[in-house]
Amino acid sequence: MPLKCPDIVMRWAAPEQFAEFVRVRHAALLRYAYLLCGDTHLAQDLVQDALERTGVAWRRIEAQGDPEGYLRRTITNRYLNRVRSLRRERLVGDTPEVGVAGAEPSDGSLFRLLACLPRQQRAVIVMRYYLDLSEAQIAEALGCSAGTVKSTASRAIARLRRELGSDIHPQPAGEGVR
Amino acid sequence: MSIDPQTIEEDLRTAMHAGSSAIAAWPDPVARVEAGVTRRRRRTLLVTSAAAVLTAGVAFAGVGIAGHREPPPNSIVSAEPAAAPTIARRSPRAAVQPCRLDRVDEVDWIVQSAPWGLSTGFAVRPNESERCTMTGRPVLSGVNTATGRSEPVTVVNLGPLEDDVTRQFPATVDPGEPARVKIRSSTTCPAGQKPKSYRDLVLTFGEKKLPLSGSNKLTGVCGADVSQWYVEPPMDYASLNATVKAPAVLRAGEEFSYTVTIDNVFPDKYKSGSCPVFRLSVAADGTGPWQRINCEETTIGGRGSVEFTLPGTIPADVEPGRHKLTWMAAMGNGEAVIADMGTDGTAVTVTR
Repeated sequence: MPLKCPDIVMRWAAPEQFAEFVRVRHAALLRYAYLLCGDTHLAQDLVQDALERTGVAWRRIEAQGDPEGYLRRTITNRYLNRVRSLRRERLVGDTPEVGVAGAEPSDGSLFRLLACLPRQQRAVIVMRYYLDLSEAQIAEALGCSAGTVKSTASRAIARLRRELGSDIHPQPAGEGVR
Repeated sequence: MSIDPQTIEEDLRTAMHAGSSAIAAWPDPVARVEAGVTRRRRRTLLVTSAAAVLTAGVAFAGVGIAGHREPPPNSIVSAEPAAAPTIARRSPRAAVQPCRLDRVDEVDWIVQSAPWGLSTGFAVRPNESERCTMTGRPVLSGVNTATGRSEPVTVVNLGPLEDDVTRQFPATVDPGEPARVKIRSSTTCPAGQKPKSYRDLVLTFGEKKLPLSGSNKLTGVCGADVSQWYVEPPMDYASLNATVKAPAVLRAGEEFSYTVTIDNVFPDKYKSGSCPVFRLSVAADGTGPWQRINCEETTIGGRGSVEFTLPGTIPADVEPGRHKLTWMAAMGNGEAVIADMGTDGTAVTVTR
């Protein structure tokens, strides 16, 4: 028998500092999530989910001194775990690697490029070149070693270079061959 | 902005920081988050209200140690029967742009592959690159085996769908996600009406006509009830990984002990409130009994682990052969944890 929605659950009110944080930073978090997943709807879901989780624990998270870092970690981990979970629930069929927004964004070539990367590599690249995090910081966020981050980034860059093509800049005469 | 392989790292940095209008800021972000938290709290209250009364018992907490993973503390715990938990699922979604029907190629027949998997039944996967909505009710038709003519199957109303499948209407789906439809047939005929049989069943929605895959006939029916398009929303998964270690060979009817290790993949503490409710099953449809681990609270430190040793039983009627043990739990906040998802469970050989 289904339970009825309890009337005693009042509408939650965001603490003022959290509300201010959301107003100021949510757009940047959306941008980060979008770079990560390449899908506007999913990016909004991820940020919404992360902000809700943060909101209910705001006092504790703010006291730790880096709420934005906490949010980015939450977004990244929920994204990586979500995709693994969905695939194993057989929810996702032959899905494109990434959803492309209906109107191609002005940085369309960037998203086409990122779409060729596996998710873990994509996450490392976005954290490295958008957030400017160090290998140690990325390792902390992803729960792996700095060495793994370094090798993942290296493989990702190599793959991106291959995608861009190696013949764009042919060697000038006299160079390259000894 | 183009990206040059020679200066790829700098170009990536520049391109990522360049503004994009592809994702707009929210007009009222605070109200949006407040509404979401309120929904979450209501859902959590429903989950905890539906749970069995907690038994005071052993409290356990996993310890996370940054930089080096110690073996998790092991607790040999008891479990007591529990009511089926309410597992938190993705919130219902409003309708968005309609799915383009010219991008729907076939009707799949999905067979439930794991207790946490999609239920058995029909589905379509619109080949879209972004979220879209399937609405309305498809029409079922088929070739009347008595006349050889194609005709719609009589529509009957068999009342609400009463099973334990969670459904949300309309079917707002992400790329690759199936939109589901439930087809029920009626063998109860009104006075004076004879049952009919059909073959080569076809589902029509909009201008799309697709044959049903798998079982594509109806025998001796007086109509069918076709549901509206819906989705089976995915469970909300906790940011926890779980693995099960059990004996490789077990006898049907045997009682045994197994170990579940739960890892917190986040650097932050995981706190779920009340003790997890779990089930161990040897079948894709998850027929093991629900049980609650006896504890006071579940907290797993950042990057930490907990381990339980639990009693289990192989049902006496399990056929000998290779099977998968599946273990899933609902944490106190309703989030789901599935052990060994990558392998659909833990392999075990059952003997007589």
